[in-house]
Amino acid sequence: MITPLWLSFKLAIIVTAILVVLASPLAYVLSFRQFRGKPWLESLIMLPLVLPPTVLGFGLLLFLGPHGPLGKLFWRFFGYTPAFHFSGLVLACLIHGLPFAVQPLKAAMSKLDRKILELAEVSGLSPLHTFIQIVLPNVWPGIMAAAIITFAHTLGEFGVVLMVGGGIPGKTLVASIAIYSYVEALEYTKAAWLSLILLVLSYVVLCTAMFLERRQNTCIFGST
Amino acid sequence: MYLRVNIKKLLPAFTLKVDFSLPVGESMVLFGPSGSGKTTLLRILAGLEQIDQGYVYFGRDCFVNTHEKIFLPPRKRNLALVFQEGILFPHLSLEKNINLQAKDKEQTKDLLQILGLWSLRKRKPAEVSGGERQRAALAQALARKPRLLLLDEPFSALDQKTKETVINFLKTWQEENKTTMVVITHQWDEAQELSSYWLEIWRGETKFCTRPFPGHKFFVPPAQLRANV
Repeated sequence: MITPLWLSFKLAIIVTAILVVLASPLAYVLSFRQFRGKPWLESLIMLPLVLPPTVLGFGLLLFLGPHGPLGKLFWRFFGYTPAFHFSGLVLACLIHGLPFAVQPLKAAMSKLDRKILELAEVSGLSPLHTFIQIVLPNVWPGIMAAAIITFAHTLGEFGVVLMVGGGIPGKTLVASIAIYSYVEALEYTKAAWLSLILLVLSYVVLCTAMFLERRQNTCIFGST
Repeated sequence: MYLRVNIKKLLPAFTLKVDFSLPVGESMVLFGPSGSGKTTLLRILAGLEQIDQGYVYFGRDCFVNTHEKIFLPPRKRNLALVFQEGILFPHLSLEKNINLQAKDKEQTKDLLQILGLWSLRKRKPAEVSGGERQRAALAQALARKPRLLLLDEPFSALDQKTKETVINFLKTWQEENKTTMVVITHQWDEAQELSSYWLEIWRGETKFCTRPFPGHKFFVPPAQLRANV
């Protein structure tokens, strides 16, 4: 019971760390920049929200498998394919979790007073400096909320992880799939304990996100 | 050398048409009723609003020219804009706000003292009053030593005594640094104190004004000025 939990946590921590770094500039661009093809890019990022996880998982399985483009690349450089491997779980969760990280960040950035960005612009700050010195410090509760939601979402990931990882014990069998396996094997006590742990953890994580969102509102609206 | 402006911008209620030239190093007051396009003009000069037609030149530098498809981003114009609300970066103390892009960090201390903000320097913008925020925003703009200073009703939240002190300091500072300054105000006394050149905007149309008392310069019609550029 410990190994699936450990794998789930390892996966959630890695995916959260990568996604926060990727999603922050992406949310900034989507919130404040106008460019051709923006609706196409936004729809592509949000696609995992509406797509059945099995569809995404199947697509990724082909893409990451021995005959897929990324699978071939991995085989050439590392001697293995990401399908049915922990690295495959990370890649799949990154794609599936991207909208869950981008949405709260976009929401936090949209609450930012546009005149602050205009002040940065007329003060001579470059877009990169504005992002690092002005935007990030003012939306950090939003970043934390995005991290927490991504973490919780990855912890409970099922369909995509099952399709790409296959639920191999000790390698890709994460907690959510382990619960399913325990139920199939009629080991209800084990399934109940693991479910209870995930339930409590998810609730704590969501409460933290809510508190951070309240703090974000206080930070921004209290200052003007 | 002039700040040369000849622009057209379609607004929801009217078309903003502005045509003037101001000698570099001078200050100009923009006045007119609310909703007449003053702030829009200031934002156009800053580069925060696009124009439909025309140009803005500062000396030899082209800020925008629709005919030649030139647009210089605000951050490259070496200007400063003080918003009416005294906008500052909310996560930084007043001192850090002023220091952020200051050319001479030593001068920050002087600015804080002259503008009566020294004791408040460690406070964040949300922890000071509207008037104190306006003064801090002005200090932030001055600390950058811009070549063009744009002020949108910068004294609206100041009491009479503080306003006099700030205006006197601003005049001295402008003369010493030879900064070109465009100020929006509704107050005649402020306008008389601040500038030799006045420009009235009424529903997007400009009217040139002379100063109503002896010993002051008249606004030079743009055609004459352009001949000298």
